[in-house]
Amino acid sequence: MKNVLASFLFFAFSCHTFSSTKLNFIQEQDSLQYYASIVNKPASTLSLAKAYQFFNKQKDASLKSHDTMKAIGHLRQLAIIQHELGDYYGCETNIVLALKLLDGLKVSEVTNESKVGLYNQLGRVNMILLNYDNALNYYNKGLKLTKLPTYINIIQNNMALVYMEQLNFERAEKLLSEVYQNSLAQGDAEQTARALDNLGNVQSKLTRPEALDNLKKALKMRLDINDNYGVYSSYRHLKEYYKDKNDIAKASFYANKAYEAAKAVNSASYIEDALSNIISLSADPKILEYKRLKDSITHAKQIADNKYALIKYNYLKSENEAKASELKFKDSQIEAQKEKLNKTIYQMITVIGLLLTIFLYFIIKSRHKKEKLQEVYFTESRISKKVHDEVANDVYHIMTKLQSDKSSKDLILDDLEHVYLKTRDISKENSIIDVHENYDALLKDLLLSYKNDSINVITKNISKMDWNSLSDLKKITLFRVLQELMTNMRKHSKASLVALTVKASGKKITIDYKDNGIGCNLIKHNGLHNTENRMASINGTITFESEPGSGFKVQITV
Amino acid sequence: MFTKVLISEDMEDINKGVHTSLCELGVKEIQQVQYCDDAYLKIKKAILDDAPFQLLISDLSFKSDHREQKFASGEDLIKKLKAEYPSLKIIVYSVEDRLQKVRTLMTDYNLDGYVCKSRRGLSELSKAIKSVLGDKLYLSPEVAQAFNANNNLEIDDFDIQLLKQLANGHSQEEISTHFKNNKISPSSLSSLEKRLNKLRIEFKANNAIHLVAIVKDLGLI
Repeated sequence: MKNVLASFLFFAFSCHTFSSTKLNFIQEQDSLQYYASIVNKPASTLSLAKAYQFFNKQKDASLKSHDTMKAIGHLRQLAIIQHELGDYYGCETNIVLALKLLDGLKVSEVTNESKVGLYNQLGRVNMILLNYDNALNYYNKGLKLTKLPTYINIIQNNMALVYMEQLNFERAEKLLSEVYQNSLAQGDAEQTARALDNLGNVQSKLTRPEALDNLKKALKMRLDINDNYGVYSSYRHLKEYYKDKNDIAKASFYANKAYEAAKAVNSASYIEDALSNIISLSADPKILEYKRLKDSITHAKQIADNKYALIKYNYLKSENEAKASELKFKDSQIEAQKEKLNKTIYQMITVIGLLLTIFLYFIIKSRHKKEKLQEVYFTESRISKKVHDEVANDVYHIMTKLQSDKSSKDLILDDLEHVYLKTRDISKENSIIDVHENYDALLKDLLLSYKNDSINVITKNISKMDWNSLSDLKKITLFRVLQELMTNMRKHSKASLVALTVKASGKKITIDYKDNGIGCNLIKHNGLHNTENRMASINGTITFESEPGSGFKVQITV
Repeated sequence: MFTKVLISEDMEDINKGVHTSLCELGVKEIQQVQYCDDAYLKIKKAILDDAPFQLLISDLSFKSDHREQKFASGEDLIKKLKAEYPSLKIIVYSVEDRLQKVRTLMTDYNLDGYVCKSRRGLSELSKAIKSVLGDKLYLSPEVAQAFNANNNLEIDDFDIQLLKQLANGHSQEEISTHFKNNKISPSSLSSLEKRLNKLRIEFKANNAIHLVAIVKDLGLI
């Protein structure tokens, strides 16, 4: 029990050494430093609890912002607090978590240093939980990662203490003498004194002759550097030494000295330990029995506490897990609900889009239909006007002629033939054209029909052009446009020569029309205006150029 | 003269007219139908009876009425008949004067005659019957140019070359040697002169200078 307590105190120191060096790079705001100082020199368990709360929050924040290095620092502070408060399992968990986070980082000197500290802490926790093999294992891991003599000394010192707990005194002695030599070479007085003191203690267990010298030497060193905690430890070990030698007078002298040292440190646990030491030297067997009983009860209680803590920890852990899984379940439920909502929204959008499309389709269709109807109506009225202007008038003229004078049959017949031809022209202008084959022949036939004794039509390249590149619609449109142009020419131009030159310009086909007629002022009459509409409908162009007396020029591009 | 003739025509007046001219020509047996389907059946029956028709005079377009027809137009009927009975002579008597249609009928279906309904239609029909009787094709003057090579409107590359040379101020002799050197034929002086005369007439030019001026004005060179 005494050994356990002694080593516990020792761990607290070594731990502080580590954490304060570590703290250098966890420089933070004032509050952080304030709480860190609480962790290093705890005034009360209440302030530790506050510090725990603070660092827990900090840790969560750091994890959220993916600042792993900071989170690890906070975890270490938490582990120290938990150690201090006796929550060893919680402490172990946090250290393991910190190690896991470190594994996720790129290996560097800083991460290695952190790992060494964490492994040391793990070793200490496991020693307190009496898992000596685990403790040694963690210390070894830590040793492998560091080359810093200070760290090596501390870890080896801790390892020696484990060996002592295991009653493996030889091994502990060997290790401690090594640590002592190393510390001496380092010139680290505190560490040297600690190693020497522990070495003396082990040697006293082994009843080595040099044990007393070493213990006294260590005490002197500690007195020199005012290491109060260390001094207490030394007095305690000396008392043990004399007690083992059955020199009760000297033993109680050192026990009283230790009590004074404990008073100087003003730590309740130290004073309690010192008093217990004094009692253990009492001659009264009842007092001794009381002491032995009390120790064994405390020991049993400690073990029970540990076990209870483990069970409680496991329970909390499983409860936390259950909570986490429940939370997860709720999350997934919310997610599912969200998804469902999204799905509904998408479906709505699709349906609305579909409805809109259908709606638009019908609007466009009806508009198209309207346009088509308008076109038909327009064409009908055009034809009707033509029939009225060109046929009805002429027939009426013949009728009046027949009524008024009995002109010769031949003359009437001539007039009638004239009307007949006109009606045929109208029919031809609106009849179906078969443009599937021999479009050039079709065009030539058209032009040929305008050729007579007084009008000569000359074409260039009509047969050479590849008309198949044009769609049927374009062919028909072009045919109609040329038909209207030629009809216009025959009616108004008084031309004797008409030339049509076809050229391919890129993907387009250009047709140049030119006649030697009287020309005009380019006031569009209906027929020519119609050609413009027709060409526009197939994305073609038609341009007119004319002056009175200088013929008529048209360029068609399709 | 033909002894057995069928007239397929939906207009009764025209039917009568044709009938009269056939009578004048001295055709003994003249039958008339107003539907293409009837015409086809009559011809088929006559062949089965071993008294086939020698000539069919048909219109191209028939007004459609309540009777549904297998042959929608004279063209369909002619196509079928000429495929089944190539020896049957057929003359079309129609308002249709589109050259392309005429050409298709004449070349694709081996039609024997094509007469346009016009003022002199009936007299032309008589001529056509006589001509077909002598195994000769007949075309009305209106559509005669369908197969007239002289009616080629296209000005050819040779003419363009010739006119260009002329426009550049070369004499006919110079043009002739130029053509010879460039292996363009014909290049002889006489043929060049002939060609130029033809062009002058075509472009209604009084002389070579006038010809060049006209051709330039029309944008042909």
